[in-house]
Amino acid sequence: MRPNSRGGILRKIEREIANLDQWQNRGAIEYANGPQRIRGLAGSGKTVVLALKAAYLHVRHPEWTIAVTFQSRSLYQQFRDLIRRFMYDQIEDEPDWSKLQVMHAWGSFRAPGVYSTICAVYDTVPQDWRTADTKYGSRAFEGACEELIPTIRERGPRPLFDAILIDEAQDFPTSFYRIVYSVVSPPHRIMWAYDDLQNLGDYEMRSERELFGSDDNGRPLVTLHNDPDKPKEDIVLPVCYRNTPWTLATAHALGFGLYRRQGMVQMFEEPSIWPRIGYEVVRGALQLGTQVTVRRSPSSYPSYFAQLLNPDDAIQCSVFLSVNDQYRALAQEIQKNIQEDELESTDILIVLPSAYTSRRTGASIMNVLSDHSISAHLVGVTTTRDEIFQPNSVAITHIFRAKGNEAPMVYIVNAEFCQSGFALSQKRNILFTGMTRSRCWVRLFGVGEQMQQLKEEVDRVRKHNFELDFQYPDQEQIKRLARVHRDMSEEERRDWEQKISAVGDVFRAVLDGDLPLEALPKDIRDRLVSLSEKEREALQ
Amino acid sequence: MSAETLCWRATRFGFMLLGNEFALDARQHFVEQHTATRKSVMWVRTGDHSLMAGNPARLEDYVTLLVNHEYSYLMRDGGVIQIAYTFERDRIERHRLAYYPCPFPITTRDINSYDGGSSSLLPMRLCQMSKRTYS
Repeated sequence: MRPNSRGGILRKIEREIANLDQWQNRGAIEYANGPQRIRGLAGSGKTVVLALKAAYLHVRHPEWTIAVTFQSRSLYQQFRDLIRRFMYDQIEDEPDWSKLQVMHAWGSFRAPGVYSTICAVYDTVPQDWRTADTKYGSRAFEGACEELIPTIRERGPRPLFDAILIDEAQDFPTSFYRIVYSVVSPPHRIMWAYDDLQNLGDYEMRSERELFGSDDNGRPLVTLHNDPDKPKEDIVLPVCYRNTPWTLATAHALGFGLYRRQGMVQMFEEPSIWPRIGYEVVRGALQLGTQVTVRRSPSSYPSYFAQLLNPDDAIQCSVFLSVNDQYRALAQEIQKNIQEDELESTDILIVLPSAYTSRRTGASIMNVLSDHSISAHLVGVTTTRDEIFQPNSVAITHIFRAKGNEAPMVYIVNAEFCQSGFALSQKRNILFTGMTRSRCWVRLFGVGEQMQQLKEEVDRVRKHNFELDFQYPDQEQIKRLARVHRDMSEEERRDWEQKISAVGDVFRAVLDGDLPLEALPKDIRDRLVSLSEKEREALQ
Repeated sequence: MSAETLCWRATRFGFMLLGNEFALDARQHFVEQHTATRKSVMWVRTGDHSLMAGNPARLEDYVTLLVNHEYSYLMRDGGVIQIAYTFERDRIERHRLAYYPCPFPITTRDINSYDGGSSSLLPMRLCQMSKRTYS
């Protein structure tokens, strides 16, 4: 493999990430003898840190029963591999998997999980997924765990684990934490890794009090403190290993619409979130109603990105005249990726922003790829979200299925879908999620004037040297943005579309001379003038 | 008709079905050259899974086909169609033209729920039935 081909660069980046030394040298693996929370952006290494902690505890206390748990089945192998590597690195020995138990949160007949093990210790028959799904629908796991709580309360705590490490903590229901607390012996060494800000609009993090509840006197069972000279109980992982700083800055700029001609789309209500996710202030201040310029802090990304990649290649945005032109260009690019750039098909992910047209769009794309002898498949039709890639085949996925997955090269096609219209917050979140699936390179493809406008936004981020320069909206403005660009139900959207169509009929009649302008009441005419001024201002 | 033309048509027909929402999924087909004169046309496979099934097929056979993506087309009603041929020069020597009807109803709700991203298109519970897992 050529060292400077995309494939060669990718292998170097993978080697850097896999280098355990850098992880061991970081304070992130410090160990508190009790509950501990680990937070960080997606791709900040939470899984590696948890695996290291698990291995460390296992080496120090081989007699302890330790559980490592998660939701995505794909993490099972990942955890076992990481823990094994770390053990060999430290003591050149295989972990005792009967004491260090890597298990799914739920469990199956073949492999016990945390929930099914807890059921067993309380002599309760665990619910299978089917039963829980029939009873609770999308809240199946929450319901199953909730049902167990009265039994635990009645029979009291039964220590089962000396420590438990929970990955993907944001995906677990509160009832799961409550049952876990009862089976981890004091001092309740529960370590949970939380994804900060999976979505731009959704940044509520449940407090430790909410997760674990309070005792009979109303005192929280778990409180986290970061005291000087003591191991931290609330750790923030500041470095994002998954995304280049340029991709992340551009994804945030587009996600919030910071450089959008028609104005911002959404914003964090709390300015203090920005430093937490790895930004530093260049000018101004992170305060409501204040002009500010922020950029990715140099400590928020590993140095190898700048050594191995360049921003112009990391993010590219292309506007096409027609959908077919777009698909042809996509096929040519992918062919080049595979034949010249030394990427594998499984290094490539095609993301479709509109879920509801994904099969039709997917069929068109596969047609063109087929012309170029490129194999491709639609993700998730018959398999779960964990199984996104297939050997020698390019994965095509709609955005909801792309969540939680990543690929070195990501193509977002028909990206103009996210440029305007109703429910813009959601559309911009789609763009953010799509872009942040990329570990090295992201390509935004789209068609027509809307895509041109999106490209202008991307170009402006580049022109600002990936600094985000904006007026922080005040509380009132943030609320107004949230209202204007809110998600809409199908019914609400249809209702507005009808109203807009009716208004269009009136204006057409006036312009065609079928209706006198004076037929419109004066206040409507005044509002029209002010609207048109607003539009002109936005375009300047 | 040559193996290549047949392959091209089988693939295109699948994408036509998919594009018009007659199918839920369609796989590409490919030509494999076995000897100088022998070729096969097959859907792209993800592994070397057995294609044997009892007659009549059981629920588990059907679910296994889905999980392993062993089909040319997965129709909108969940029916599975397999198209494969072996050619000796330009003569068809063997073929596999199989249809497995879906053993349970697929509702619009299932399809919408997939489009909305909340589940796999085919009800997971059926996959669970064959795997006998809790989750």
